[in-house]
Amino acid sequence: MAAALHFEEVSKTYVSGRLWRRARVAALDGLSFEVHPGEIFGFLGPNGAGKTTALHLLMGFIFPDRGRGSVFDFPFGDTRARLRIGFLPENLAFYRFLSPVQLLRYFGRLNDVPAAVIESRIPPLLEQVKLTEAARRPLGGFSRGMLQRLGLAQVLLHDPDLLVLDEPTSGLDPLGRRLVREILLELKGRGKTVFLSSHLLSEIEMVCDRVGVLDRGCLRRIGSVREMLEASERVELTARGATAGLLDALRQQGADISDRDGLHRIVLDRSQQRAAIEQLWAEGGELISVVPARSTIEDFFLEVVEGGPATGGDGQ
Amino acid sequence: MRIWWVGVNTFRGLLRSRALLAFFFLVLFTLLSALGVFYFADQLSEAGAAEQARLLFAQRIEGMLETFVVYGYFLAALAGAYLLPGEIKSGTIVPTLGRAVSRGQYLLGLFLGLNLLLATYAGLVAVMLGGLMVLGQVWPGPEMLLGVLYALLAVNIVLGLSFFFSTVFPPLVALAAMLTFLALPGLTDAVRLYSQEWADRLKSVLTYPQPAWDLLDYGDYFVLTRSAIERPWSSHLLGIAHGLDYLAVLLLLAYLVFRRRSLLPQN
Repeated sequence: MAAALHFEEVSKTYVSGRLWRRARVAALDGLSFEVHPGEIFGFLGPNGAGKTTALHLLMGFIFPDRGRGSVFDFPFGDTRARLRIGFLPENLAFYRFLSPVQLLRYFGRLNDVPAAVIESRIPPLLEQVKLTEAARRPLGGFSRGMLQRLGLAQVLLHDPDLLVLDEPTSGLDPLGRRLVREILLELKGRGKTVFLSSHLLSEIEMVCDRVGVLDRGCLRRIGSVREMLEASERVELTARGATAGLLDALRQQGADISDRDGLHRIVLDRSQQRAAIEQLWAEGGELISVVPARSTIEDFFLEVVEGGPATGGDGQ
Repeated sequence: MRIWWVGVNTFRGLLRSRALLAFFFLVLFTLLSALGVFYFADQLSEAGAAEQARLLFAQRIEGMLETFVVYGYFLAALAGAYLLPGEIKSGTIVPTLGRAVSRGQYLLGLFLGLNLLLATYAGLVAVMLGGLMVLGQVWPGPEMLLGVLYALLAVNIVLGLSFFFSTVFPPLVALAAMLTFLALPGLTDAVRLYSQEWADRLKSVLTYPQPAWDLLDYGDYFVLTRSAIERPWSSHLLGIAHGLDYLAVLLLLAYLVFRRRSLLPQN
C-alpha cells in the first residue's frame, strides 16, 4: 500500500540575521520516513527540533533545499494532495471579522465541498467542538482555546483522509484535550491517517500507533509506541514468598523492590532475571509473572534526546 | 470559483480596515469642501446668470472627477502594497493556502478582492457625482464612460504595480519601489542637461517597460465644459488592449515571484 506521507532525504536550512551577520541554521537534515495509511503517527521533539518546519514543507508553505516528499503520491504542496488533507497550524490565525459559521463556509468552499454538504456539516461540527453558542460571534473576541476548537472543526469539515495537526491540544483545558483524544480515536476507527506533532508526551502515548523522535533536525528514533515503551533493558517480576535474604541480595545488585498485597514487585536488569528466578524457586518462592518493565514515553523521549544515539529512520 | 471566494473574503476584510475608514472620511471631506462652490453657483443662478452658474458647477465637478481618480491611485497603491504582506504577517495566509487553493488562484483572488474594493469606490463616487450632476442640471456625454474605463485601467495598473512589488518587498519598500519605477523616465531629463544623445538612449530603455499613459488618458473624456477629443475606435481598442496586457504581465510577474516564496513571516 502506498504511503500516506513520505519524506525522502529532506533538508531545510534557514538564513538568519542581517546581511553582515548572516548565519545558516539547519532546521532539517536528511529527514526520511513514511506514515502509513490508517495510523496515528506522533512526531515528537523538543522546541526547535524542526517539527513545524517538516509540517510546513509537506503543506507546501516553504520548499526544501534538498530531498523531496509526497502526500498520497502527490508532491508536497500539490493542491490535489491538499484536497485530502486537514491541516491545523500551531499558530491559529483566522480572519477576525468572520464568525465560526462564515469561516467554515469559506474553508469548505475553498475545498470544493458542495454548499448543501457544508450547511449540513457545520451544526454537528460546532456541536462536537462545543462552539454552538458562539457560532455567529466574530472570531476577534474568541479565546485561544475557542480558536483551537474551531481549528479542529475546520480540519474535519471536508472529511480529509490525512490530518496534519501541529500541537492540537495547545491552549486547551483538560476537557478540550480529552475532546481531541476522542476525535483522534474516532478518526482512527474510521481509517483516517493522522500526523500529529506535539511535545505533550502523555497525549502521544495515549493515541499514537507509531512515533518518530526528531532532535536538531535529525530523526533519532522511529517505531511503534509499544515497542519503544517495552524496549527497556529491565524486566519486572511479580513473586510471592521470596525470602528477605533474596530480596536484600537483589537490592544490593540494583533491583527496585516494592511489596503490595503480599506480592513482591521486583524490577531488575534483564541479565539478572534468570539467576533471580532460579534462586526464588530454589528457596520455595512462587513466580507470578515476568514482563518487560514499562517505561513511559517521557522516559523514552528523554533517553533519546539527552544522549541516545541517532539511529536515523528509514520509515519502516 | 475558488478565486471568487478568496476575492469576496478579501473584499470583506478590506471593508473592515480602519485605514479605509479614514480614506472614506477624506472623500467625504472633499465632497463637503465643494459645497460652498455649489451654493455660490446656486446663488448665481437665482441672480439670473444661469449659464455662468452651470459652467461653474460643471468645472467644479470636472475637478472633483480628477481628484477622485487621484484618490483612487492612493487607494490602489496603498491597498495593493499592504494586502499580501499583511496576510503573511498576520498568518491568515496559512489556513487559506492549507486548502486546495493554488498560489496562482490565491493571488488572483486577492487581486479580485482589491478590484471589488475599487469598484465599490468607483460606484460610490459615481452616485455622489451623479447626484450633483442632476442637482446642477449638468449632463455628461456618453464619452464620460470611456473616461471611467480608462481611469479604472490606469488605477488598476498602479494597483498591479504595487501588488507586484509587494510580492518582493515589505509594504513601504514596495511603495517606494513603485514610485521609483514610475519616476524613472524623469531621469532622462536630468541626463539631457549633459548629453542629448545619452538622454535619448536612456529614454528608449526606461520608457519601454513603463505603461503608455498617453493611451490611457482619461482626462480627455472627463469633460463637462467642452467637447471630448475625438479618437478613432481603433485607438480606443489599442488603449484598452494595452491596459489589459500590461496588467496581465504584472500579474504574471507577481505569480512568478510568489510561487516559490515562503509563506512564513520573515524574522
